[in-house]
Amino acid sequence: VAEVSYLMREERHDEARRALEATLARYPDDVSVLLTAGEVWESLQRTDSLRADEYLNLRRDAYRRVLAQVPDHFAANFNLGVALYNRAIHLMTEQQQDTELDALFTLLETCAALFREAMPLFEKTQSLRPEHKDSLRALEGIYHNLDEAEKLRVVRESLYSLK
Amino acid sequence: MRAQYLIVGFFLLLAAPAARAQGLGNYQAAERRVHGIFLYNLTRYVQWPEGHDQGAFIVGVLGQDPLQPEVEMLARTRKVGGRPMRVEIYKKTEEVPSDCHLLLVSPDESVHLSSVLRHTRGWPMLIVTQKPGLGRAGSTVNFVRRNNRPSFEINQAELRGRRLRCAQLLLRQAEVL
Repeated sequence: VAEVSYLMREERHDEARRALEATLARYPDDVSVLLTAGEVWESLQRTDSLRADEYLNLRRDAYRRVLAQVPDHFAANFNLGVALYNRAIHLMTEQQQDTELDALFTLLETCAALFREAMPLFEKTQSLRPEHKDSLRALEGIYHNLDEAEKLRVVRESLYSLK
Repeated sequence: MRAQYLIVGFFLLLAAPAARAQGLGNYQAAERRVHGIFLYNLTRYVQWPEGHDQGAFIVGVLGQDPLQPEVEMLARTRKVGGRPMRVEIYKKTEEVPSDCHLLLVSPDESVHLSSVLRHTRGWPMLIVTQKPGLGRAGSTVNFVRRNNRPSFEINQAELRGRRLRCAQLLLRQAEVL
C-alpha cells in the first residue's frame, strides 16, 4: 500500500497500477488495500478521461468489496458516493451545446441511475455523521436531480442550520 | 532499527486511506449546461416566419439569469442557420424589442410573465421560462423537471399565435400542452 501511494505521488502511474494489481491479487479482501485502490483508480481516471467508465467500475468494485465486509465504513460509502455523483455531473457538464436531444435524454437516464446508486451511500454517511457538510451537499444535488422535493427541503434546512 | 520503524510509519501515514476531501461537482452548473443544450436545440428546430429569418438571431435575457453565461457561450460559438447570434440584456419588459427572436425570462422576472405576454403579444418571439406552471400560464417553452431529469414543455397554442413552427423532433421530446 505504501509503495503504491509513493508511486502515485511520484506520478509513476503505470508502475503504480502494476504494483496495485499485484497487491490486490495477493490481498483481495484487505480493506486498506481496497481503499487505496479506490483512490489510485480515481487518480488514474483523472489522467485518462477516455477510460473514465472503466476506472469508475474499478472504483465501484473496490469500495463495494469493502462495504461487503464493513457496511458502515464511512470512507468507502463516501468515496464511492462521490465517484458516482461526480461522474453524473461530469457527464452533463462535458456535453457540447449542440448535442442532439435524443442523445442528451439517453445520457440523462444514465445520470439518474448514477444518482440513484449514490443516494443510499450518502444517506449512510449522513446517518453516521449528521453534520458532515459534503454528504449534505451531495444529497442536495441528488434529491434535486431525483425530484425528491420533501427530502430536498429537509437537507437544505440542515445545510442552512450548519452555516 | 528505530529508523526503520520511522520509515515504515511514514509510509503508512502516506498510505492511510480515508474519506478524502474530494470536490463535489456543481449540480446547478450541470443543469445549466442541459438548459443551454435545450436553448440551442430550440434555435435549430423552431422556424420563425418569413421576414424574421434574416440578420442576427437575437437572444434576449430579461433580468438577471444564471443561464446568461451559457447563452453568451452559445452566441460566441454557434450560429443559427448560418446567422450570427447576438445576446441582449433587458432590465424591464418595456425594453424588449419586437425583433428579439428568443426571450429568456429569468426566474426572478417570471412573476411579471403576464406583462411580458401583453407586451410581446403576436410577435414571433419564443418566450422561454424556467418555473413549474408557466407553460400553462402562456410561455411558449417552459423548462421543468420530469421523470428525474430536466425537460421542457411547449405550449402549442402560444406557438401558433406567434406564427412559430416547431419540428416534430422537438415536439416528440417535449411535454406538449
